Amino acid sequence: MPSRLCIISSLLGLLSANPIGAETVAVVYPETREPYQSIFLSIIEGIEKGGRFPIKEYVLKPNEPVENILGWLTQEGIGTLIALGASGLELADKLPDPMRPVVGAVLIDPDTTTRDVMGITLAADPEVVFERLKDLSPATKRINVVYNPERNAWLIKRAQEAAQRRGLTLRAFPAKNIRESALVYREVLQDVRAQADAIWLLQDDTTLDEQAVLPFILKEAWDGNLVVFSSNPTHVKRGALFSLYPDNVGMGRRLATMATKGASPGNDDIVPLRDLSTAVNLRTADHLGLDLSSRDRSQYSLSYP
Amino acid sequence: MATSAGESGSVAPRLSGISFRQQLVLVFTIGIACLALASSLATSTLSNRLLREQIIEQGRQATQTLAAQSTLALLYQSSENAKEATEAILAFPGVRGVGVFDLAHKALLVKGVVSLPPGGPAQWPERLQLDQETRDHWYFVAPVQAQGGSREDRHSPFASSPDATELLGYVRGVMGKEDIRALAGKILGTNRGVSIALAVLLLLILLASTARLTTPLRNLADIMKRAEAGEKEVRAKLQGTKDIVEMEIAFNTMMAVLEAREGELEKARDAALELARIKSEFAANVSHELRTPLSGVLSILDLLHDMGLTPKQREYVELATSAGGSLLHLIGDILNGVHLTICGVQS
Repeated sequence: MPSRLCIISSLLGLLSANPIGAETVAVVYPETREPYQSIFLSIIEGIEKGGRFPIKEYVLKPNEPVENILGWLTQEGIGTLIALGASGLELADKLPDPMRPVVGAVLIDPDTTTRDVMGITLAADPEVVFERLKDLSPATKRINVVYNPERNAWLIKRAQEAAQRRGLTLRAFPAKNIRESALVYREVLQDVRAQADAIWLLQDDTTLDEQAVLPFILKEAWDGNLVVFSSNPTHVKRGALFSLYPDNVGMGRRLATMATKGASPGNDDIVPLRDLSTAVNLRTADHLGLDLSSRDRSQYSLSYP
Repeated sequence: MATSAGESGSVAPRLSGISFRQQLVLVFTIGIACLALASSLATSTLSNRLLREQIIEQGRQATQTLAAQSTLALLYQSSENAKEATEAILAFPGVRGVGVFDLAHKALLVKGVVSLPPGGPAQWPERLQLDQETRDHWYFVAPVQAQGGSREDRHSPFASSPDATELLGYVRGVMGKEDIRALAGKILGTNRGVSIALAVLLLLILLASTARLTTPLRNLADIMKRAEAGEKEVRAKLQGTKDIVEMEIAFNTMMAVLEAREGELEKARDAALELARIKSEFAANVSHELRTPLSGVLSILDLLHDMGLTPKQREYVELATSAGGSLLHLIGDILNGVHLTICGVQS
């Protein structure tokens, strides 16, 4: 215990220097396999490009004691920490106050996060999502979304504001589990208007069964000429119109900015992801009467088929 | 040990009455028949076991597939949705019955053979399992779970919340055993047929090999019989395996030695006969040469006896006649003895 106290007190001195100048920043990410490994490396590449500071990487092993990281930080004389992935968030929870790491590459619910952290959640920013929706499907007037109020109430609140700003109506239906969400989706799909309505699939595995309910939604949407969009490119492959997924390098740049300057004044400490790439399904677009094929393909990072 | 010795002792005389080739054929036939029977039984048993495992695995897969396809039906409590899934699964080979049950174990849809196992209470486990096996059926059960996210996302290092899985109900599947029985019968029949065919083929090959091995032995035995019958200049032709060729060489050598000795004996006999003949001629000549003068002497003595001799002279003449008669008789005995000896040698 005395040694741990000693390490913590040393770190407090280092971390209090935030925001930093050209001090070394530690990037901690979990030991994982491909393709996840490449994603973390892309984010680190973005951090290197976005922050004008040297970085040192630390690969977290499964169930690695927090003392190891604390000892390493002290030994390296590092005061700023960027923690990536779910393991990074767990680590951030265990760090002693007032250490305030920057967390990224993980889904975070700011309403339920007990630890005082700043960072970027993987949830796509509704502002960007709806902007893209308006761009790709101008006829859409109403967005329907099923969400878990225990996880995504904060996101829906932001989405309501973003929709309002763009003249869109957001119909948000709460559901606490997959069973409830399935019933809600069925009701929603019975009360939609072709072309004008869209279904927004959130990144939440408590409200979407991908094996049974997703095919049902996609089929009904296809039959009813509805736009379906999400944050998962595989949904696009299966028939959704478009999906906004993380631009890892861009996310890394923004994390680096946060680590350097802290959260922007007036903004929340946990912000949704704004650096997003687009995947579109051109066949679905044709089916919906949207002429996306003639557009500049460079707008889309991925296109199917 | 005494029993086995006794048994072997009782079997040996029975076998000794038949030829070596027949003994080999008998042993081969019994051995190959046992081999064919054992191999067909072993193959059938192994095939049945593999078949059983395969059908159980098919039952597991069918039940798992039904569980995956029943998610929507249980989410919406829709027997119409369940109907599509169950009909597809019933088309699987061997599937005799299926059922979809909600969390209260109430049937949403049941088709075909009743999918609840007979007897005690059915199990409602948290993972796919073979619930019960009866004489005619296997009963499988699997939970139906709604799972958020894709399979890859469940192991993603980016998700901070635990895996969201919701139990929706259960599905049951019944696999019939008629197919496995029919297949097992076919397999056994085919195995038997193949084993018997192979056994016959093997037996024919062995018989041909045995014939190739035993023919030189039989020829050697025939040659020995001819030699036993007194045939001269009998030699075995060198043929067959190395052991048999050695026996044939040994026989030929033995016959050569025997014939050489016989030749020597014949020469000795001929010499003895020649000697006897010479002796006979000599005895005949001596007999003639001795008897003729002696007969003359005796005739003269007879004449002299009748010429009126004095008693003293008569006495001397009679003595001389008696001595001459004894001598003649003695010569006759000697000649007869010689003659008998020669006759014995010649015969």
